[in-house]
Amino acid sequence: MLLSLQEVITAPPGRREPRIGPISLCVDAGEAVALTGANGTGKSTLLAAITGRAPILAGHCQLAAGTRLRLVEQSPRPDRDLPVSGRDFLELADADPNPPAPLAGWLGQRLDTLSGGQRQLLRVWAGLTAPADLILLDEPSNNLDSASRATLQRLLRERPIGRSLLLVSHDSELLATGCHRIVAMPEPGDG
Amino acid sequence: MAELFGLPFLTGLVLATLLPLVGAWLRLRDEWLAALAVAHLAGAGAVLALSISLPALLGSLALAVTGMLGRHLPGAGNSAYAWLILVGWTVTLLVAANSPLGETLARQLIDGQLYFTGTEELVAALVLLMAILGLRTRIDRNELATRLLPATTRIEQQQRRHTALLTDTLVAAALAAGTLSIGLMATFALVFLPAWATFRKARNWRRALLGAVALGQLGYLVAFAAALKLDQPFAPILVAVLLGLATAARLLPARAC
Repeated sequence: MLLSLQEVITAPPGRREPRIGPISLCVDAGEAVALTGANGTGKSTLLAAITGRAPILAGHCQLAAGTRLRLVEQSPRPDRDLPVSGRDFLELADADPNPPAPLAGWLGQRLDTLSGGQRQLLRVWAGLTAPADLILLDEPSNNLDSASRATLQRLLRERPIGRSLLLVSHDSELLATGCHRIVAMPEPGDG
Repeated sequence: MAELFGLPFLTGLVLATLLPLVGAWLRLRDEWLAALAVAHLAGAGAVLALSISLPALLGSLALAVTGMLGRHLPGAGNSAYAWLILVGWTVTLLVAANSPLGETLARQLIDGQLYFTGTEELVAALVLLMAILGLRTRIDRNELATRLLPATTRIEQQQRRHTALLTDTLVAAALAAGTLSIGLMATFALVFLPAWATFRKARNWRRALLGAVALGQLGYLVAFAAALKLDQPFAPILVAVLLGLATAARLLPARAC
């Protein structure tokens, strides 16, 4: 088992309230697990706890020894006025430098000249193809049009063999395409 | 003539190469105001050190590094840098007003004293240039990753912090060396303007760095020649030339970059 959460209670980074959880889930090698829940239930905070940026107030969070993580964030810092091309970004992420169309056509462009959806797809590609065992994707289909959502689904389906996914999303169509299990976050006050 | 100006020319050229690199990293962090704050602190440190009979470089380095490392304190940011600028300015002028040596140095820090630099300043600048070029790939990667890729483990977060501390120390040392050799505003101009000009339009990171260094060096060469030819103080001429070049570069069509 790559990741095991047992009765984990967490809180946003640097805080002890509001308390989120308790939640238990596990992710095996090669498995894709979806994490769903209403807004404000703390799905992104749970990912922050798994990556060590949010505190674990109770319970156990265990990663198998040597597990390499990648996180594709929901709202990264804006790329405005940043002279970094798509190719620079994939190189920085140690990702596969040869993505499929239409992503390949964006490599020579600066990130700040790409649309939000194009940047998001490049980030997902970087996450999926970088050296990692478990990839944490936070709402990857947010703000994507239908063509980009189709590309995202294809990238997820055709991800390198053996990569595990923990996918946070509200998007039922996306969850249906390739997730082995769906885990619901407890509503606040359930615990 | 060549003997008289050879060492200062080389010192300035080395600084015109390394300060734009420092500027690119600070701009990437959105912390370019740090350059002005740390340069002010470096000036204050130099004047303070002289007032108690210590070497100016030592005081300058000590306060510059302290100021730069202060960015890791909670709540640090551009407001903190603005606060440090005011502290540095006040200390420099008050100590200068009450110490004869300090007054001379304070004047030189504002005017720029490139023509009076010697072997010590050149060696310091060269050592810094070699350190920065040797670590550039590691620093680039760390600064870009901090901006673009979230750290996913505590170990990774720690490694990034360690490299950032190393970067901060080199940045502070470069700013201190610059402030003591070419003056406070000339140092700030070499940090701020080349990166400001190239970040907008460079096609990728490598071109942004090369463009910033090229702009810094070109501005320096033009300013050095112009200041001698026109018998003008070096620092304001450098700032004026860089202002012109950076604005022109900013207005260039994107395909030219």
